[in-house]
Amino acid sequence: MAATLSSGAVRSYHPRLERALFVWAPLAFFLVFLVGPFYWMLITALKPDSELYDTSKSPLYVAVPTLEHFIYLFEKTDFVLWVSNTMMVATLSTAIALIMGVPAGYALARMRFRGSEFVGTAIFVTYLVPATLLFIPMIEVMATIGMDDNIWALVIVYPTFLVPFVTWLMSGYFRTIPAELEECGRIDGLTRLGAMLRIAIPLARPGILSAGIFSFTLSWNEFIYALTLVTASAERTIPVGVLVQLTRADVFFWGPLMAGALLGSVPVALVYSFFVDQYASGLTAGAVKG
Amino acid sequence: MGTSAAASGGTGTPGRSHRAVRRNPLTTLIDNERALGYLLVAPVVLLLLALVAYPFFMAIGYALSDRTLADPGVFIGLENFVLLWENQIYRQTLANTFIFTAGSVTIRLVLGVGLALLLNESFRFRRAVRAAILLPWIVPTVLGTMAWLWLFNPNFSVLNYILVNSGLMTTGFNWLTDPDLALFSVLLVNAWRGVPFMAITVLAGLQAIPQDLYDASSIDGAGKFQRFRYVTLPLVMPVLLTALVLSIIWTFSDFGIVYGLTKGGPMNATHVLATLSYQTGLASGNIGEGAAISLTMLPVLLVLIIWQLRRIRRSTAM
Amino acid sequence: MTQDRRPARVSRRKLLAGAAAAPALTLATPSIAQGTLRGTKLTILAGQWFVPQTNAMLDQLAADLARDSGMEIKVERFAGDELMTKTASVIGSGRGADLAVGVEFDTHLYGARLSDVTDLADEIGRTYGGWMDSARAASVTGGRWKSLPIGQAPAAWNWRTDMFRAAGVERFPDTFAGLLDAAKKLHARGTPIGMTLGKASGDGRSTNYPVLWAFGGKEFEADGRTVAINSPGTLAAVEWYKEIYQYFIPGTTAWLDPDNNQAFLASKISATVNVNTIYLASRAAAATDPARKNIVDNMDHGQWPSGPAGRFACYNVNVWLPFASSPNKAGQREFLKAWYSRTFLPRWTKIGESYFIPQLVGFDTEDVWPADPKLRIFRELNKINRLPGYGGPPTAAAAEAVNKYILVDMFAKACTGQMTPRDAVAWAEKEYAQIVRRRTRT
Repeated sequence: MAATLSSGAVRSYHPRLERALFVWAPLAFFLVFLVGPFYWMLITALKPDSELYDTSKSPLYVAVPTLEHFIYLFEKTDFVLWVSNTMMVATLSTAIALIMGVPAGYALARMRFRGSEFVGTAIFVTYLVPATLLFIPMIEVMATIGMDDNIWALVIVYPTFLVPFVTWLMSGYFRTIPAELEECGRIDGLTRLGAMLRIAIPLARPGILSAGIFSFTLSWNEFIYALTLVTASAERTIPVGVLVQLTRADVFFWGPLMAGALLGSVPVALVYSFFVDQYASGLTAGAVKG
Repeated sequence: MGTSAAASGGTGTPGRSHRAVRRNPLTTLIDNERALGYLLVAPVVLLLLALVAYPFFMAIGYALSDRTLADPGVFIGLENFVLLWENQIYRQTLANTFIFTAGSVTIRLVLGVGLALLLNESFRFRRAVRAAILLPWIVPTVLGTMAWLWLFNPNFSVLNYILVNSGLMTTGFNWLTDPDLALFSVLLVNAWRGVPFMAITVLAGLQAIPQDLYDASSIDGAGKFQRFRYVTLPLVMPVLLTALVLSIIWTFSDFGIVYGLTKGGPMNATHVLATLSYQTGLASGNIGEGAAISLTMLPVLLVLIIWQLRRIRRSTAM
Repeated sequence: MTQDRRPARVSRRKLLAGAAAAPALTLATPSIAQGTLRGTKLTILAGQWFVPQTNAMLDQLAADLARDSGMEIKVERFAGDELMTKTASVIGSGRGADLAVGVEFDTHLYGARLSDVTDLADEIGRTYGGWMDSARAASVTGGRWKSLPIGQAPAAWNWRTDMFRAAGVERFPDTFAGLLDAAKKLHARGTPIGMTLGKASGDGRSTNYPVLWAFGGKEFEADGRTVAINSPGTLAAVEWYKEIYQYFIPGTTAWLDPDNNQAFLASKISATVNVNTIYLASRAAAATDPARKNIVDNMDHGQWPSGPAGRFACYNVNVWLPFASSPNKAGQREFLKAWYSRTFLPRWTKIGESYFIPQLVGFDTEDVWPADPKLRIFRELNKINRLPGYGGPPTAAAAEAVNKYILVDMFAKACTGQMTPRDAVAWAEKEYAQIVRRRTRT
């Protein structure tokens, strides 16, 4: 890999010192800044309440770790339901976003039709409309079509902010794939649609994967719509469920709250750790040409 | 990215020349580039018309009325916007939003690029580190924000505990209390969330740079700094700019972090347009005014996006 | 809470048995008898009241009513700010729930979208010796009852007798000058007091409006639309606040609702304004937690000091909001009747130990008051509530001022030195004027 960091033109006589200074020290800084809060979440989730509010002890470690907050989360709240709800909503809305967005991205990248450029711009511009502007009219729209007040409303609404991004990313990604391959396929007798399905889409797998992971994350984290469009406790998603059930007017249940936040991130963290390379490269390739 | 030249050459190559065989109507449809193009784009366009454009125009209607949650209201033209401009809280919020965005994006940029360069080096545990630093980006915003709320807690702040016990300070900071510091604290949390995205995107850009370019520049006698300046930076620039534009969009319209940490306080020092709009539209029930506040975000975002699209068009046209 | 098909008589008898000496149900329930509610649905939005038994009793009431009536009743719970959002979205869309726990302002914000329950209110008033003025102010808009008061939650001065004594103050001060003096002494001993000056939806209000009123300040004239905030009284209040702020624990301008509780529980402050929940929670934990026991032994509740204009308090009020969009109006009414029945409301009040007290005159002599001597003062506190918006009614404009924390910010701006007291008052006046201008356009 290209070394781009270190001291530049000055030749170093102390490789170990240089390494400590330019690799390990900054790395430590980044880990403390980015991962430190998670240590704090873990510590909080493992501390009994008596330790949590005792300012005479060091807050940095746990004297008597306990699983009481995790048990509370599983036994006294609908956490398991929230996880499965969130999983369902995120999976379905991601699937919808991909099914709609990938072919649209392909069309915008490859096909010439009147207004294609305008449509491409317009699709991406919708990505800019802030949720704080849309959510009140959206409540009314969903009520009108009878889709409010249950979790399926989210499956319909989430694609509205996923699809523009997927379309944009994929149109960029398809531009990085040589069109000649599809030309060859066409000569071999594939239809235009066939060329897309059999050649372009398989080649675009890294891009699709990125778009999918990205969409999944956004759906997993969404808050405003999940709060306003769903009433029933049994149909809530993780962010809403955890926040709404574990904070009260004047008491926050810090232990279960942190336990829920940690466990609520695990599924997405797993997805990322498996696909981090593809995710990054797909995103980059797509984003640049989008 | 090595393939990009070929790709842009192939864009929109007409398929007509290959059409020699006779087809049935369905085949013609799926084989006709124009028809197929419309067909593939149509679902997206319909969805966005129904669930973005329609509510969007409803919201514009709200913004031009004195509608409240309980009362449909009447058309009042631009009065909401005039009132906003005269309102000290709105003007302060607008300024906050710009500071919030500029501050957070600067931190994202500096730390993100730094981290990307670091992760591009080889060292032990690199994979694990790379997975770990993604955590802030993954944790649901409102829940990650709760962790910071607890870190910043006026009575139990562990940050202050560390600062005081390491002898750096005697009392610690009033992270969310001090009106001057509070805005910095919330933008720090926003940046915390955003640094991993910037880093991982730029890292992918770095790794896409062919090694032979570095080799070639080394042969030409370029030092490390020169290689960074003349090889790395220009090649990574497109990725960087894209990640930057996305970061600006997300930060400018961010809601969850301020909502979770301060709800806009102390004394509106951390209100951003999204939270003020939410507070006005829902808590006070002034849907019209709330919509007007959100709408004022759009011009800034539009300028950004047009610039971004132009830049991309130019680069693909090359 | 799925419906149960057992005959209605069974549990009705049980309910009555529980009432013991109570007279026959004044609030008659004909539709249950007719069985017209069978198969209908009722969704109730509620928060989490701090005293857990009060929530459990709501659930139990819903379950009993579901069984008696054949209605399917669901209680959906949200945290404070999210409950407000959820209610607003029901008001906006007309879907999602039939009833909600709200606050007094909601009546005035959403009046047009709430069911008229004037007849029920009259009946309840007759049953319990009449409504207090604060109840009428909370629930009547345009001459009609559009909500029914659940109760007010008196906020008292929670104070540490041991810390006060150590600072040479034996009793909780009865004047604002006395409070200032005590704050000075407590600060000098490292046990400062703290009053919430942040965006705390509950404490922000209960802590700051009483100060304004005690010095003779008010937001509006009696018409509810003439802004009256810029007055010598307000200025005096701001100046007193600026003075005492120097002796506060640092950080109160960012306190949200939980922060003063936490600070008090951690013995970091010697006094703060709060409902009885600090005490109740500590008393519950005292058996196992010596730190909490220490707090219980050494704390007490005090009255608001009396200012030049008198002694006032500002409490959070909860009301039942019956959504006009509900397709199940009969079910709404049935639930409300059950809530206000003699067999339920007094019991519910007593179990909260003055956490929430229905604003019904007759309750003063009912058996609803806590036996714990440290909670006795709440019976007195219950008599002095004023609602935001004073000297006018708690209008939509007054609600907006509360939701925008204008009064809190006015004090905070002066306390932190960001503005002079005079400028802070002028700033608030401008904000109020703009709110009124918008609200009274039509």
